[in-house]
Amino acid sequence: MSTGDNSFPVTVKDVILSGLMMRKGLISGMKLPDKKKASQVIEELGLTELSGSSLSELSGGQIQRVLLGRAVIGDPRLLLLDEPGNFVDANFEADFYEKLRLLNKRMAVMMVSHDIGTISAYIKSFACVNRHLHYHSSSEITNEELMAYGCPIQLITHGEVPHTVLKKH
Amino acid sequence: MSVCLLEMKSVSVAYGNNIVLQDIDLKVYDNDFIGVMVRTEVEKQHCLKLFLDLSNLSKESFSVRSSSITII
Repeated sequence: MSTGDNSFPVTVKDVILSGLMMRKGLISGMKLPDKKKASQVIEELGLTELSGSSLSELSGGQIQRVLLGRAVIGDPRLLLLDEPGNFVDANFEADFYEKLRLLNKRMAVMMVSHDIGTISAYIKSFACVNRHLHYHSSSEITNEELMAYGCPIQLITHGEVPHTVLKKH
Repeated sequence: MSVCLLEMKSVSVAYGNNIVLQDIDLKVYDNDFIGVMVRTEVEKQHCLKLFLDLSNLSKESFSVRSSSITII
């Protein structure tokens, strides 16, 4: 997700509604059901108090949630995320993934990332790409599976203690 | 009963002779929560572009050379 230019004068609600523009045209022409849907998404993502705020007033984690709202307002069947943990601090990160877990009840979620550690607690299955794609149906990561990378791993979360593994393998 | 949203069989991505992704088989179901780990930024961009391109195709199945792609 890119944060883009956050100084643009637009409210949280409008950013989320803009996720429907491909199908519904300009926000000013959107009907009540679209606005209701936006309110629903805003509530679901815990943004109610911020719905009238401008993006420039928000933190990185809050902006990330707004952009997530923009992505899901059209009820996609597959949500594809690019390094969703970027720009988000540790507190917001757990909250963000928790929101994704809830969204996963109604859509498939697929995220592509370098950081194997922070997301492994939330995913149901994972795939390692090393030119070939190695798919694993469980989110448990074994040493054998890490071999797919063929290079030192930078950060792995082991239980609750994150640590760096730079061993050659 | 979970529904398969996207299926790839033996999909490869290459620049000329430089192969970036090779023989990728993947099925994505509607209740999946998949983490795709990549080694490099380039690999990540290629993966995302591949998934995006495939999910934007029309709802049909087709074959490219020996590979087949199903969009449901």
